Amino acid sequence: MQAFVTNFDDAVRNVDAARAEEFAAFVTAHRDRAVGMAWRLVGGDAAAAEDVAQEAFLKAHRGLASFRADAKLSTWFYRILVNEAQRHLRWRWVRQRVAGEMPEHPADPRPEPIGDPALRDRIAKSVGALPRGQREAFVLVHLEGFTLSEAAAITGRALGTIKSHLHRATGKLREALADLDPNAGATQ
Amino acid sequence: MSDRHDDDAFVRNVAAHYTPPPMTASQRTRFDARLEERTQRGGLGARPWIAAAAVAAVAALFFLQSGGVAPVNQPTPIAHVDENDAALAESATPEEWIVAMGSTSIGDADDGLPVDYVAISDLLLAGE
Repeated sequence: MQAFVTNFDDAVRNVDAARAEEFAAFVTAHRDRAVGMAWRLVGGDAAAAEDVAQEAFLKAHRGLASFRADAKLSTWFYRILVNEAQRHLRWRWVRQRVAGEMPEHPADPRPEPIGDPALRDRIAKSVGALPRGQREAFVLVHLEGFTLSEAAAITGRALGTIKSHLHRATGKLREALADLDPNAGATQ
Repeated sequence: MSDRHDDDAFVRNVAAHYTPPPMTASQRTRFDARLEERTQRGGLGARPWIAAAAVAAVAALFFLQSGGVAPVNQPTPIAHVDENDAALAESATPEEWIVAMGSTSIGDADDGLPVDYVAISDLLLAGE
């Protein structure tokens, strides 16, 4: 009996170690993209982006046992990430209405993104003002490079819905950010 | 020019000005270390209410086997009590403690908004 328990304990430890190694490899492969995608979804807030990505990886780690292999692991993970970003935005929205505007963040020691910060803020606000479906479609397809099918799988929406969201999102952003549209003058 | 071509140029401009900075090596190390610490913490020890519920179940069995006599002013033998349950443990009778633990919703404590904001969010987000 003792030998069985020892062998079983060893087997469990080996499985745990293998899973931990697999998960670590998954994190390494997707970490940068996850943080970048979260950054774009939550409006350019670097600290919030890391928190969202952390929560997504944590939830993926906890949910691995229930993951159905009929979907790609990465698709499943990015769906968690998109939902975590939305949860963060909703939480921020509620806090702002209850406690007022969020205080300015202290200086972030991380490197600044390239480009004009004022323009970046305008883009962040314009993207943030889109309804959820349009925002996610625009970020996933146009900024993160997912295909329409991949975006549909990640968001759990129909392909036609993604196309519609994308078209509307692009139209609204072209109005809000007309200075970034090289064809804005030609259409008038 | 087609709409698709027009969109491509606009989208390229948006993407160029709305790109996160690449993660540095130290950021990656910090991120991975923080995540590893949190995943290792995600066992029973991270959810003290599970341990408290298990102790309450044992206390219930003990209580039932002892004939159902409710002791007066006896300390409740709770081995693991998180700070939210400490006040209850100090004043509750064993029956009240067991009922309280039985009505605790078992769910991921990290899910959803904080409890005090859930009710407000439903009111505030009614028009979303």
